[in-house]
Amino acid sequence: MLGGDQEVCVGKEAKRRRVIGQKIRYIALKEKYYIFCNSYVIISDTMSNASITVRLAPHDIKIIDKKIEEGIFTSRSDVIRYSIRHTLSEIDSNERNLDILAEIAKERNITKKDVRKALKKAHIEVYQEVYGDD
Amino acid sequence: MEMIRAFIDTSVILNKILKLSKEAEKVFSDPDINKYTNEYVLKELYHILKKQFKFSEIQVSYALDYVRDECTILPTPEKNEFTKVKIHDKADKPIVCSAFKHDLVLYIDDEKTYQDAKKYVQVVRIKKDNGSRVCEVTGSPLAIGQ
Repeated sequence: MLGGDQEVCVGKEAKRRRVIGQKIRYIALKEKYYIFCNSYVIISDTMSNASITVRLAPHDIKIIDKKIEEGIFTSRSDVIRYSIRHTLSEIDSNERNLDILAEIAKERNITKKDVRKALKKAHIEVYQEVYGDD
Repeated sequence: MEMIRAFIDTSVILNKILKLSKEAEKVFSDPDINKYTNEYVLKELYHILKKQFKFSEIQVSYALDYVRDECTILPTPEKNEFTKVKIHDKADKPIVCSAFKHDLVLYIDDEKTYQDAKKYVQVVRIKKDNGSRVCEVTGSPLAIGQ
């Protein structure tokens, strides 16, 4: 599996490189989990994988198979694993961003009453902006 | 359980984003609610967060990105689509119209809008008292277009 300037690392080093790596690709092989980060091949010690069935639309499968043909992924499972990780991290980051907004709102003492007031003002201005004066 | 197709009003979204209401948060975390809103609501959100609450451009984009991820965004209705809607606050017309047009249950937390909107669409008013939703189902909705 290794070639060119690829190298193998495990444990903490693998974790570190997984964080800094781009174009990460995952390939599960038996008990081990191989993560390709650009020119690195990283093996991290992960738990054994569970198997699930996913039903997909033919259109999506076509796109997936094309990406495999192009060499971006190695298998359908590879795509699904990557997609799930990507989506979960996206959700986490969305939630973190909302936490920031809520924190600011708290610091500025923004209450439901303020929201209602602001909404009243926005109602007039946005309606005029979109539909003009009646 | 059957999926609820819900149109989420600006105030419910704001209360969720700024974590001001547990009830609004429940709506967003409920997997049985398929959430919709429209571009008009996004404009109101932008206006409030940027111009009134003075959030930075990037912070506003966090909020709008979140809404785009969580909700299907419908187009803003044309004015002639809601000429027959009789609502005391005309700014609610594009919201009621979208909910009506796409056969969605309207989620709001404003009493006045609730009373007006229920003439046209099914409305769920998010209430604080018992933490549950109060839903009033109207009879045959009135035609609201031309």
